[in-house]
Amino acid sequence: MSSDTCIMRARPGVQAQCYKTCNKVLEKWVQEIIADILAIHAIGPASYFAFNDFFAYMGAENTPSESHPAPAFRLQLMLKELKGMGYMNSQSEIDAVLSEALPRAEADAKDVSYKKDEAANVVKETIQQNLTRILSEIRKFISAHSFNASAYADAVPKVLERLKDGIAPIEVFDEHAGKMTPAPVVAILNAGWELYKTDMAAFYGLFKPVVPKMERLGNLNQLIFKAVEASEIKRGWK
Amino acid sequence: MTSDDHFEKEQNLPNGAVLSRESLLQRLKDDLVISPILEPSQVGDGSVDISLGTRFIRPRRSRMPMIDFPRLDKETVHLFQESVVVPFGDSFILHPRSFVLGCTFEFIALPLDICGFVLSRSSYGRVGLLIATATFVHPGWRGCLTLELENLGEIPIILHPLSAVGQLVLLNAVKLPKPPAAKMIPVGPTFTTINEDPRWKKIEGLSTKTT
Repeated sequence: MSSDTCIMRARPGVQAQCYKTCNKVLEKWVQEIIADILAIHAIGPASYFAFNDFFAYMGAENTPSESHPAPAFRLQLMLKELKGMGYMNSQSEIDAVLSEALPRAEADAKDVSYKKDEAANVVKETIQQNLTRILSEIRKFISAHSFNASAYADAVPKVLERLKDGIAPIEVFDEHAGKMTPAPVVAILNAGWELYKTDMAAFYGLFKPVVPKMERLGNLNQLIFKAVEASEIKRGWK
Repeated sequence: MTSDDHFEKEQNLPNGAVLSRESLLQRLKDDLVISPILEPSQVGDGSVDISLGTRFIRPRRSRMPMIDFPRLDKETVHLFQESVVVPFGDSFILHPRSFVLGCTFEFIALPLDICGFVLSRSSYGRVGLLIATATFVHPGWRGCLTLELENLGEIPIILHPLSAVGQLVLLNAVKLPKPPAAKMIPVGPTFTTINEDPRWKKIEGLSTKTT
């Protein structure tokens, strides 16, 4: 028997309680989805990578809760949104990484078990049925500022080059302005993730063999942090 | 003479020649990184002004009776020195005859044929602020330079992050065949690692033989 049928047959008081519970969960989940999609548009693939690694690091279970949809459900949503933003459409290294991740995330999303939580199942179904509408409403707000594939191709490679050379990418040469300008924070973050996901061997090669890999990786984080901090100072310097 | 002509001429300068403003500007476009340059006037005739960053290593009150370099491992150093961050807009007070490590705000990457020296700016030096003792920067070096800040005067000095306390003089050098491998690419002051010097073992070996 489906959850809808269950609710319809229940007494009005129970029905009201079910709706209340489901609405509460629905509200929280939609908030999370809005935040995820806004982050994907504002920050691009870096947002997905950070989210993915966060869950991996936390060892989070692939199950929904009252406050959050299952991680895999969110991750596949983020990847699909990236695809809609023009990613996974070229031979670039970053597109290869994302293209490889999408089918895996979709399979993981299918594996999410909703058996233990009937309210979560109802909410998931409700969201699935209304997903197109929800996403189109979110996109109205953010699409003008979206860090889409073409924005990525414009901004990230120059920053990535510097980072690969072990240089904190605080500034990059702007052909239009004919001078060095502060690197956009979003480009710095994405360059960091692209390097980490695709070409760490080159970065590791900058160091003496005795330096442990974790220290080299920590040094990459420090360079990114330095670049974010100093580029912000340069941007605000009047 | 155009700027490019001037640069061409300076390319043929002997090793050890100080890079002029034109040369510095050209190399900053090409392969020299001193970033960010907040004011165009930072690039002067023969040097680039460098500013104070926000990270410091300051002394910590300690019961350590003395410093013995071969035994100065990471844990021991942390007994008498600690890292602090002073936010932009805030300040750090350097008391008379006290010593802290700071760093440059600028990230520096020298090409393989340029070396440098860090010097105090005379305006700061005249009131007793010394900013560097280990002043040489090797060709191919990358990172934020550690500054050894010392107040040689009689009254406290307030240090402001982003103040241009020093200058970097750059010179032509014999080109290194390949970039040097790094132990780390620092973005803040670094603690001493003098105990890792392989020479200590040989020195200690000698003392065993003589006793």
